[in-house]
Amino acid sequence: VILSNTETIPGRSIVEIKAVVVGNTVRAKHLGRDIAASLKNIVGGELKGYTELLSEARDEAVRRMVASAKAQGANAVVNVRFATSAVTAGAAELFAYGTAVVVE
Amino acid sequence: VTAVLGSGGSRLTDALFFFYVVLPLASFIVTSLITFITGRVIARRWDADLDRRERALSSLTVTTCRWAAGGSVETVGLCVGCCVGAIDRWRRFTGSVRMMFGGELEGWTPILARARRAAMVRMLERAHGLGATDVVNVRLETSSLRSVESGSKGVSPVEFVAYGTALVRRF
Repeated sequence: VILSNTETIPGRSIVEIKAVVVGNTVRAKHLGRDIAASLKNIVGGELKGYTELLSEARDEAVRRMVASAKAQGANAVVNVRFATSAVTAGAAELFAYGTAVVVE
Repeated sequence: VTAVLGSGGSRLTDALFFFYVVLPLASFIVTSLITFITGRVIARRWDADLDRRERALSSLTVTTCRWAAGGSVETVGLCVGCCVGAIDRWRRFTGSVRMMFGGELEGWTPILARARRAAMVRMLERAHGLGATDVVNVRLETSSLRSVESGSKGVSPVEFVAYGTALVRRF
């Protein structure tokens, strides 16, 4: 499955639009990571533990979106967008959505 | 300290005073002073690291437009980079002072800008790894993560996401 955040796949033409496909995951950080991150939060700089956690979670959201696109018989997802929201203290929702299409 | 404040009563009040006033105040002052210095060191090192990595990526054409003209596109791929940044104790303190008077929080602006740049560099490195010549339709997003420590008020870590479509073009 080809992914793109442009409206078309550059160099190919869309023959059929299938549906809007979404993928999401709500993740909480575990205690060990949280202790390290709360110390790092005092010092400043990058919170590497959180960066890793969120990128893994985002990859998972994308995988779910792609699985749903495959199930619809699409071979590409265009106009992919991401959103993050902090649901509560210690948990965040990672969300990816796009339009499943069939390209040549 | 107890002599000055005239609380020279029992040992219990002395102990309470120590644990609830002296210790938090001392830890606040010590962490503020330490992070004043470490904040500068982290900023300088991080900037140098990002400069070095950006030089290696100078061959990429990066745009927020939807399309790069010319040539034929061979491969397309979505690239994502992210970075979670935090503001150190000292700059939180100076920021809280600034918030009483309004105006720009000079200490915070470069910290957020640097973390966003790190997210961007990571995204471009992914694209570079795919052998891309261009990254089009670049989007930058910011979201604040509520941490257990910060609760409803206080300063939360901030997540920056950069994403775009990597193109491999043949001319």
